[in-house]
Amino acid sequence: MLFKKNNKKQRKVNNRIPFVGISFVGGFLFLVVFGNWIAPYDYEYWDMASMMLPPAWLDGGSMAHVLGTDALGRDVFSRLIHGSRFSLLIAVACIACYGTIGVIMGLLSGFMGGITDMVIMRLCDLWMSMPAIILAIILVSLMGPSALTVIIVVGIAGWPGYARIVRGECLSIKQNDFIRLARVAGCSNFRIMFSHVFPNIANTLIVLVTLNIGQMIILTATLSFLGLGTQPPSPDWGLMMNEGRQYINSAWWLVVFPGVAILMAVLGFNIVGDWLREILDPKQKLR
Amino acid sequence: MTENINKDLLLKIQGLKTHFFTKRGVVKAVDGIDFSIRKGEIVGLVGESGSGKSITSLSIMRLVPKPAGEIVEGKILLDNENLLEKSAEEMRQIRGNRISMILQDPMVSLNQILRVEYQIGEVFRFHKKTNGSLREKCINVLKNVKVPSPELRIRDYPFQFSGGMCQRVVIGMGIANSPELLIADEPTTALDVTIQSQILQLMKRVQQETGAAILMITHDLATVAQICSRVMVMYAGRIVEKAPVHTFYKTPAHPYSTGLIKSVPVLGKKIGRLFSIEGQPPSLLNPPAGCCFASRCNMAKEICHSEYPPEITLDENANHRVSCWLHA
Amino acid sequence: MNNQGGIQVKNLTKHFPITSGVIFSRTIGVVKAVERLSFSIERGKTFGLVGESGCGKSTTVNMILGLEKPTSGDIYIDGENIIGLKRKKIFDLRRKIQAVFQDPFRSLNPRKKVKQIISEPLLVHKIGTKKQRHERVLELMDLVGLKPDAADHYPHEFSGGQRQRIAIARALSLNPEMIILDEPVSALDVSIQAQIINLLVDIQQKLKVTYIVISHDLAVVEHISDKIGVMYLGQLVELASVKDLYNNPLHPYTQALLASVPIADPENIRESVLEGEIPSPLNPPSGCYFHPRCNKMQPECKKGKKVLHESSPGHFTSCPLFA
Repeated sequence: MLFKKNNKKQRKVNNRIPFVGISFVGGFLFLVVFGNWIAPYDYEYWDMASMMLPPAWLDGGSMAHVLGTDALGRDVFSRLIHGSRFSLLIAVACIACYGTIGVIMGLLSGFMGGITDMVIMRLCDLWMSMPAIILAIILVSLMGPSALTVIIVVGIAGWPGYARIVRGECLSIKQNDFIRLARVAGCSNFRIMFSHVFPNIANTLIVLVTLNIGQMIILTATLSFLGLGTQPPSPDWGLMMNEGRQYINSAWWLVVFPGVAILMAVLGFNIVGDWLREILDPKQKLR
Repeated sequence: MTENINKDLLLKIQGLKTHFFTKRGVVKAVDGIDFSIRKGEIVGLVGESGSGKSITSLSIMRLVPKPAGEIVEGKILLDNENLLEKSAEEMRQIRGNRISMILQDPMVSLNQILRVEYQIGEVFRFHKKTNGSLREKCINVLKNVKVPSPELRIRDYPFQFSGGMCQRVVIGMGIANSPELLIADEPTTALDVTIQSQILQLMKRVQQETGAAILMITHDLATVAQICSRVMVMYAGRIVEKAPVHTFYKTPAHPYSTGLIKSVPVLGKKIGRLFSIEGQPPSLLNPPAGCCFASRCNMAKEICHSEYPPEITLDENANHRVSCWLHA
Repeated sequence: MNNQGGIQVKNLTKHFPITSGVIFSRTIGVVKAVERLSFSIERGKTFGLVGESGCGKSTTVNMILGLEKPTSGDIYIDGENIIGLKRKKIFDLRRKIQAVFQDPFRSLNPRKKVKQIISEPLLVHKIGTKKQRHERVLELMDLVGLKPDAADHYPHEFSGGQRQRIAIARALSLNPEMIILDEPVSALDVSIQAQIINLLVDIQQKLKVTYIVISHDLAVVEHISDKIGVMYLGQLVELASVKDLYNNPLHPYTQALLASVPIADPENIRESVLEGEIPSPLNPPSGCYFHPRCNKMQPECKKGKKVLHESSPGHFTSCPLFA
């Protein structure tokens, strides 16, 4: 039959594990854990004698500094490797911070309904109508720029998004008869929320977190780029791009390599997130 | 078969196999079925969930969910034309025009945010039969299925209709282009009992007026008894018995059919304990060798577990046929 | 009515206000979901409640289960009124009433193992040690015909019938006096329905538990009930023993209902006697709610409130023709 061949091909594509995504994320996590042993130099090590060296494959480059050096003679490759840990730590801390607030608020809102729901949702609206960057500028002027400020800013700015998604999931799970039966059995609201509703939204949360890590990396990089986040000499990728910006005509590698690093990490997490969404879907499992 | 029978033959299915290719293996949802439908008759296809009855109807419409599902073998002949050889475009012309379909849940069959008029009009628009006013045609559709005050209701949205009325609208849309075959997949299951009989009567009337053949897919033996002239029983992807409706309820031949009929509580006949077929239907992923029903059958012989029975004719007109070793 | 065991429901009423406006909401109407519903059933017997969708069956179930607060009326279980009790008392009473719902695919938490599902009520009520609870789970699984090795599996690994068995085991875990069966078999396949019905009947005989069965399948209700109530638009229109109701239905609605059920017998073709659809409960007809669809309508049917009255011993109807 004519349509037979095409079908088989399509089937294979659908079930394929995303090697690109996984290898990006895997590589990223590998650097986070083993970066100390791989990086040839410390991220603060500077050597005025070898400043502004181009990458190894260009004229004047040397194998001692594979991706070149910056204006202070620091090794770009080493700083990128150390930077991975910074980026991930900040991203995870942010997500842990607002994820927890968001999930609790969302569960309360979706499950209790009524006045509780209305108050929390209006609070969300209010929060979301405040631009994160302006909030960041205010907070930074109050607390001074630092990694902690970034975590707090991003953390409190992001919870409404989680709360809304959790609330939506919660509302649809609430429709199930097992929630009614849990009440009939005498379960408390607390027990129903955390023992019945939460496990059923865990999948969604895993996917959400994976997709969000990418966004967080970009957001923290943006804040660092604007000078509102981590401060020198931290090897944050956004900060590195900011520092390299002024030399973009003479030393493009200072901007391009951190940019590529951000791109690969974010792309990797997004692909893995999409893939997780597919395989964690219980409907998919039944197939 | 004589010339005469061939002439009023509408649909003939030969050795149809529809399989699903999943990560865990091949699910043989429909595994070699043969049957035919004559012009203007109502045939019931009875089976439990997972027996392959819905996949059979989707196969006829060539709407098997891709990419997992696939028709691997067989022929579906509509007026001697094999539907499996049609192009996607030709198939689109056939669907909704020569073959149309009614689904179980009327609330889901209609788009809740579009006016009924627009949705009925869609049937005509697509098949380019727009001679005469579209609105009049739409009103006629509602009139045909006895929706009260169609001139007014046509401006309503589906959520303003009750379940029974929605199903009437869906049936109206199904027969709007006077199809030769109407496939009804559990058309009354989602409705209340009082509405069920109204809808069944409506379908019978529709069949008499338009002369369309109806393939009634259901798990409910009562629905079949009420409107079908022939019954086919499906179990684990195969048709195990075909019979005229009166014969079927009086003298069912397959042990599964017998069990089904005995296990339904009958209104007004309260008995001590229901007969029940023990066990569960087999997994279609690794169906057992031999007859699929053998493990639940209390009359199973040795051969039942090793070899699938041939189709055996029980009467001279070859109307009553059963696939069971007990009759071999 | 005697107060020994079983359940008595007296004048149970539920009105839902229809409100308009978000912040300064005001009531613009009322839906009388259930109105002055009264019935009783002895311990170990089965009461069947039939009616079309939207007749108030589900609201009644929710009120008996304590999921919704009645507007007025009383529910007595073992002679004790469960309406208006304190929280703690209600918590204890919940042990006495359990439920099995229609859709076994939605009534089990997909993220919990079978043993967790069955033992949860015990855990919540702090009954027994972990080991005792596990033994109880195995005992219950044996009672409903599940193999012990099913305990460590998740619900999605089971078929509809098996899942309904799990749901029944859970409902039985607290040794309830009453189980509400809300369409217990209508989502199941024909060949499985009979298995579950037989199981329910066996359990009742063994454990002397009271059932309230809600169903639109009149044949199933007839098969397992001792007493039946027919509901129409939130009111009981007929209440009788199963024999009286099926052999001698009095209310024209009951008659129409029985006459229009499709029957699995090609010799017995049903004509739909009932024309039209259920009127909106927001704006019900005057007098007897059924009069616009009734083929025996008399002028007096349009006037006054119609209440249940005993037309023959133990056979109640609200139809004025039998007053």
